[in-house]
Amino acid sequence: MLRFVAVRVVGALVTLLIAVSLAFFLSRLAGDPVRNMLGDLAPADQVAEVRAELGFDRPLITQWFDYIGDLARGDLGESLRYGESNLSVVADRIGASIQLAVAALLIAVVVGVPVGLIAARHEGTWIDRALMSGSLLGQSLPTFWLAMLASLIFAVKLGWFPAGGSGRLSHLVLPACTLATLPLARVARMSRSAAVDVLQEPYILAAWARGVPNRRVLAAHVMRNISLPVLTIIGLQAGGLLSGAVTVEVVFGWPGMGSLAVQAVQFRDFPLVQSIVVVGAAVFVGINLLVDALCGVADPRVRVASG
Amino acid sequence: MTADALLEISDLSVRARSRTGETEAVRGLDLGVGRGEALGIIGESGSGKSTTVAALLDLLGPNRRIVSGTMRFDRQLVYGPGVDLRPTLRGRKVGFVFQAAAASLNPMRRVRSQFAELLGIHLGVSGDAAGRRMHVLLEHLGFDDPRTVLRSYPHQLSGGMAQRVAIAMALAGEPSLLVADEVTSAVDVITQASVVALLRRLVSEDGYALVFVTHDIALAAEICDSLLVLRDGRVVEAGTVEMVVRTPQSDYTRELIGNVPLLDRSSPPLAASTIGGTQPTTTARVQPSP
Amino acid sequence: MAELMVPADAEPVTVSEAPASPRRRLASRVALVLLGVLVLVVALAPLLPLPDPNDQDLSNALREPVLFGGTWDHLLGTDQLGRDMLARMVFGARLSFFIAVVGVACAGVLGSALGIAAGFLGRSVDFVVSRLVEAQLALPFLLLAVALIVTRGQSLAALMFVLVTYGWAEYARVVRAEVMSLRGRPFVLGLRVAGASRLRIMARHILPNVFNTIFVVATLQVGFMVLGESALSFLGLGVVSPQVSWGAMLADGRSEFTRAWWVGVLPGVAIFLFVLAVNLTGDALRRRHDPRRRAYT
Repeated sequence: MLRFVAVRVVGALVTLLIAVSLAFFLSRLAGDPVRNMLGDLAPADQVAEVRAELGFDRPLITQWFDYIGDLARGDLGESLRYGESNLSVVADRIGASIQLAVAALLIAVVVGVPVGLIAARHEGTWIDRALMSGSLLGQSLPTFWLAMLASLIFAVKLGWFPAGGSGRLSHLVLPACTLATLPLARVARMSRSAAVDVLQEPYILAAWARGVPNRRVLAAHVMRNISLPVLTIIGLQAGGLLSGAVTVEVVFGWPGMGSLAVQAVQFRDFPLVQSIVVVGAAVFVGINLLVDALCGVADPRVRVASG
Repeated sequence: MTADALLEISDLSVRARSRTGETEAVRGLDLGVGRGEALGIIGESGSGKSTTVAALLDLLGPNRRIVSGTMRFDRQLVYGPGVDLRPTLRGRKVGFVFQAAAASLNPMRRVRSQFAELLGIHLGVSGDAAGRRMHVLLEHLGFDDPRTVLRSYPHQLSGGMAQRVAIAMALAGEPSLLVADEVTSAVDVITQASVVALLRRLVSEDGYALVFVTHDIALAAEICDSLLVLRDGRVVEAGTVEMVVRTPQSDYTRELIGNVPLLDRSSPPLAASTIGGTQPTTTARVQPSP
Repeated sequence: MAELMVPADAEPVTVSEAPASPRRRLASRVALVLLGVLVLVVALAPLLPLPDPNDQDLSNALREPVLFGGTWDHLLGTDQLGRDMLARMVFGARLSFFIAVVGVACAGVLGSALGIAAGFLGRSVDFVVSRLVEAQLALPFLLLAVALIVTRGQSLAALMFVLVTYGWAEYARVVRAEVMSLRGRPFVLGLRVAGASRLRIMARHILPNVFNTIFVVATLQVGFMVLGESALSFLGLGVVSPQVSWGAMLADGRSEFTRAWWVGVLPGVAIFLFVLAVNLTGDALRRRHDPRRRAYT
């Protein structure tokens, strides 16, 4: 059991290392950060000077080495715009992003799983078709457009919620619901599929035969047994959630890492952007690791050896 | 039909829908079984034996339907024109044991929780009271170490143990009738013998009524008091075991019996007499969970 | 956002999908037709009698679409600078499509090549490629985009670079799995015994066999690329004015929403319908090419 977790953790760290390095090389490959910072009109000697100052004139491999070394020590560099350590800048904002992401995931699961169960229970009927069509629509809505619409309809026109900012629960509602839409649709779909599969299993029939009422069968047996596939799909949503959060944060002025990233790009704050990417990748890898571990724990056939 | 029949089914007909059309899965079936009695329903696959017991508990599914018949349980009409009380039978009056015992248990929950659930639903007991009942029941069924069994997950149980657990769960709601659907088909001979002995004991000592569904007429004859032979949905033979075995009315029954050596009801069941040693105890097999 | 476009079979669990009801199949067919019409319109755009999408006419700003009180010469109304919405939508589609198609082609070629190599050659090649794929998939789309654009600056080329670097991994993953299952087939072994070089086998025998899979992934990726480009343009990181794309139009529409809802809603509807159509088509294609298999794990 411990070995199971340890192997996974090591694997995750390796993936993170490669991901960060990949981002490192790709971003250098894409262009010249210094030139971009200073603009095309900057004189060549100024560019060279800044380049030397920031250490960009050294061979790429050396830069990479130093970069990884710094990361390992927790040094994410300094933001050009804020002048403080990137770590503290990011740390300031990461709380808000986590809040948003967790809220969105909660909504997605709390609404999505029952929807899927209901669809499965009424498999083949109009209820099923309606719910699944709804989820297909939900999957096709661009998050940023939905954010715009939600903000403009519910906040500006109807005035039910504030249009932006943060601080109180009412500020969280619209962004979280918007961000939740896509994962909700996918969770609903997956819950339905998994539930349909489980409902055909012999032990469900046996439970009915033993007199367990239908509602309880759904709540206690089916829900428990679809937890694995649902958990898996939640893990797969992590990347989408991180991406979706960027636009949602921008539209609603939510002070998280996503909006920070966009601002940083606009300010050509290369070190800060890089730090955000590192943190983002670490979060993604961490979530996957967690989901992996939970899956391993949740399935008793994996967790407990056969007699 | 004996006067104190616990279960009486009259003129049951069931139609089944398939891709090619509708067929009659069961036609004009009558059966009766009383307390302390064991009825064997014998037939090959497709004979309608499983359909009959499924009909009893309203487990037919969307592709089969009852077209005629009445059912009485303990003298009360549970199925007939305008009446359908079959769902109230499930677990509380009639206990059902499936063929593949391990598959009939939820792999993601411990035995204890699935068992306790039934006690809560049918008898309204929970907590310690439920725990005690489970222990008593499992001991009664021959388990030496109920605690370990209760703590286990289904995949940790051997085939025989799973079968006994399934029987225990069928008895959880304190039914008076037990239905065993092909419970011996998927297990080895030794387990088969012990399960069969257990069922016989439940009938003769505890007074349960038993409906024993199987394709094996010899096995049925060993533990049952009366037999019902089904073929293509129709009853071709019915009567006490002696009658059916010594003077079969139909050729089909004769065929079924024909390949089996003459049955001697006076000798005890095979396993107990010819194979020496004792039944393996249950403790040896189960690993306690970490 | 990429999760939107990943085929459902990519989840490592058996999925029993609702069998295609006749309504669903009709929907897929309609979707396909709509997509076809769209492609046609986009291709013929310069020949159509449309005003220049960048033609500003401030006296005519914020006119409603024709069904909401506007005039016929601006079917879908105008935006805050008086530019014709219909023209902008069509030319926006043109650019978005161009980006998507080129992006899919490049990502597809790169990803498939790596996937075939990894699946067929195995061992160290597989190891390296698989680690790269995992790492790539660990970088969420917008974060990756942000990282690349900060060094390169905003441009069409940067946009393409972002899309390709994100997109190749999905092809590689899926193709690799398929190739690995093909590798053990008798015909491959026969070719090896007959002395065919591995390169030859990969190019002339494996590739045609995985083409179906690649095609399905490509279809869904087109939708993703349009979404991705729109998102970036919306954030101001993608397409640069005077070039028009749906995402950029959405960004424009944001400030005008209270006064002129159509400026923001129309491009969004377009993106939504497009993605929906792609999803339906992709679903149908997937169903056709692998009925119940877990082909993508």
